[in-house]
Amino acid sequence: MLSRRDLLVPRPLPIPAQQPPISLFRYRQTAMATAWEIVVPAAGAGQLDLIDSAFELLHQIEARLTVYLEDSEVSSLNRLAKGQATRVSPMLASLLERCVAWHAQTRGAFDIACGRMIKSWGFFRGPAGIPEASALASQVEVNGMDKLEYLAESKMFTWKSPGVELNLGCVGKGFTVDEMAAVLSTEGGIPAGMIQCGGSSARAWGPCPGEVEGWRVAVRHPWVEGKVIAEVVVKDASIGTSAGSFRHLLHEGRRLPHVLDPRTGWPAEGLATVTVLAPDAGMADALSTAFFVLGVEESAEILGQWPEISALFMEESGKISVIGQHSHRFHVCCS
Amino acid sequence: MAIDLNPKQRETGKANFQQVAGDLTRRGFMKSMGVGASVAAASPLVYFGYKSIGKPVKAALIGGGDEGGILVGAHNPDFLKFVAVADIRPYNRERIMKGDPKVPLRPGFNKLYGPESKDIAIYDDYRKILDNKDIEAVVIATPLSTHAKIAIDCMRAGKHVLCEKLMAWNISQCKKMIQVAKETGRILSIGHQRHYSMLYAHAHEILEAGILGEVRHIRALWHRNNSWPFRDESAAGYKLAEGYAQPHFRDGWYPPIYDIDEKELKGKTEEHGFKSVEELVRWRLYNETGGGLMAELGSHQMDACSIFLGKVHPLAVTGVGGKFFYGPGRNDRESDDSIFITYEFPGPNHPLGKNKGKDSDDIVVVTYSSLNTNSFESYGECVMGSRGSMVVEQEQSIYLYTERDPNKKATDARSTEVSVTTGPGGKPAMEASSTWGPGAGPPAAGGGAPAAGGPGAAVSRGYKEEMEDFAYCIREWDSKLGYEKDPAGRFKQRLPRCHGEVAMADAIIALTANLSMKSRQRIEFNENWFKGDAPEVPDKDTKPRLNVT
Repeated sequence: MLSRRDLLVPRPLPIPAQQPPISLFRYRQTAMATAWEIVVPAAGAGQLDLIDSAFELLHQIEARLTVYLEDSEVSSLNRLAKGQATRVSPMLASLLERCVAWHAQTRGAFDIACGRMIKSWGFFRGPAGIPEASALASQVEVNGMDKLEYLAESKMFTWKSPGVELNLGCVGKGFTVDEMAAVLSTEGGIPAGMIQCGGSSARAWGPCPGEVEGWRVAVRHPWVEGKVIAEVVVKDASIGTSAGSFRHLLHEGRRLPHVLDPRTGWPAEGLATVTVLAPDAGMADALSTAFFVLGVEESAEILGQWPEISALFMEESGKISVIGQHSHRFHVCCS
Repeated sequence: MAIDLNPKQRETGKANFQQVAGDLTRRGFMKSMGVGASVAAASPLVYFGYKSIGKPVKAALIGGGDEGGILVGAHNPDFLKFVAVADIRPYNRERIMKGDPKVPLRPGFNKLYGPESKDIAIYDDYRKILDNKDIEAVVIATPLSTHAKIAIDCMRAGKHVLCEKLMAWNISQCKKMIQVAKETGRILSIGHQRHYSMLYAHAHEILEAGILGEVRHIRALWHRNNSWPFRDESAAGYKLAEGYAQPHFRDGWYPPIYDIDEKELKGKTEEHGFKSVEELVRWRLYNETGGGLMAELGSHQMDACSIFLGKVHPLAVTGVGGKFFYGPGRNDRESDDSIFITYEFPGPNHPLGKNKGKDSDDIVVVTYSSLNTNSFESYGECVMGSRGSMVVEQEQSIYLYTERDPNKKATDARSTEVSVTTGPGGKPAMEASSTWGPGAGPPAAGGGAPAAGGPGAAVSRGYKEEMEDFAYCIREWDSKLGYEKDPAGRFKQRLPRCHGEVAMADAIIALTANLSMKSRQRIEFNENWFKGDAPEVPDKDTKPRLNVT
């Protein structure tokens, strides 16, 4: 059963007992045109090596997944001719397998084969702009995961139509956060920490020092600078956020978000921001995009498939709602 | 602060060069150094271990000049409530009330206290407050040569003292101040505000954590450019006094002399320890009233360096300094305008180091420079270790870069920024938004989201906390227990973090550098100099302007 509640009364967070503050070490690098941050509560010489390794992995994954470099694995898949089959690397295979499932589970709202659609809106190298009506109509025809075939057992990848392109922008960051977290926590034995990228994906494990419930994450208002709409408490879990930028596209006097609906080729309208709480960051990233496309009602319909998922929605009207069994982890703020 | 710029900083430098070359009528300025780590100013009160107090301590401010104005701007009246001000200069007496319209950090009492500011008693001589039993404490921000005398007079009159740095003009005076504090059972705190800076506390933690590896060198500097022509703009409403050389260059140490001070004080400065009105107003320029760049600027940073190295004392100092730029008609002075100092500090395993080891070759070299003719690097400290470098810039930012490991291929280690924030302490650990959210550009434009490290408030430099803790110590103080120590040599009761013995070490480090520059000799430090009750001092031949007995 879904437990849906519209939060009208702000609920304060429990305040931890007064104690001497603990230092958080924050390590940052830039990759995927975004700031990446590893936050750990203590420092040590061996730990620095692990953090180096995690960042090294980040750059390796970027080099494999990016569409901005000609020699990336994804770029090479995008150059494949129709019907030509190729075996993908184990890393990409594990991601593709999940993407195929998410595409089916989200009624096609999650789609990694929209590279050309993204380019037609100028979201690839800019400038952003609304495509010609004729170009728009053909976009749905030349994009979409229904035009690719991926066989999980043999890891073989094939395009069923010509000219389709992958763009992993809607899931790559979350996937990478998970891979880095494995280096630090599972392999490295760092007992607690958080990895986040650009505010849109994050994963936290272990207790957050000085906090009662876990790592607190503030959810920013999508367009009011400095305003926070909610806090999420993340413990051994991940979050992903999708929000419209409402800055680049002006249509009939209205600003459009930049998240495209793969089913229509038009920006998804209705929501301002979605934050998903999930066991891993890849899933949180993917589902936040899908929910943004689907809107509150349709998201609520499909959310029951994943008992471990909860999400916070803010509609363009400003209405905020939280859905899912872990809704208690969201605290809607007044400021 | 670091000459070794990271790629972003290089880009800034390149863009500036193009701007200057392309348009010579406009000048390009270095932007503040790149993306720094912002340190959340979370609860220094808890960190430094003091609590709020009941009734605020009633205090008098002695010296309402540039620094006095800053202290007033930073103080918290819930801890320290000023009820009197004393200054011999009428200009300062007016300015401390009205504030400095060009400097928001000096708001003045009228603005801070509102109508209540009328209750502040204003005196032209600190001796007029000594008998006022209502005043529990004084904050002294007067010229260096007067610190010891005023502090000692106030302690003997029963007042607790927070005195600005440098502690005193020579070390004999410092020892006398410590002695009088003990005799009178009064608190003596010295205003090296870095002892109350969360930023430095964090920097120290980074060092303690060992992530810099083996530290062999610290480079500290404070470079200013005081070579730009003077324009008389700060004197709004005040007439310049006649018969004095007015500033040729913009230079905070060479302020204009106003008619209002000249009229009241001409011929009357001797009794206050100044040969002339000019010497009083421009006291930092004269050897008998100030202590030069080492006392004014270097002492803060050597203070920081000795904290970084585990509160150890240096082994030796060698310095070169001189008046290379200023001269007759050009803001002339006695003090040096350029100084270059090299200290040898004991490393952790040196017999005098933190771990009291056996390796007498374990030396950390600390260099310090201060200039008046170039501000490219501004001020800060750069700690260089075998695994990383830490730059503390302008008491506001810490930058940390790990050394590149040649065994690792993909990552350019220097592109890792490291920062330390105080544990959440009531704040979220991050902010979630779309990477296309506020502040972020589309990836195509090469933009990236700002690092979501939480809101970066301006970092307190420590003045506020220093005064709060002073007030807290006063409220908790047991004057009978005074400065008694336990068998382990620790004070039995809580003292301010920069009490007399701590501050004297800073004075010794600064003033011995002056001696080295003067004699052009390497000078080895004597551990007895640092002991409050030992008679040895590095500068026994110096004659202070004002005697203290």
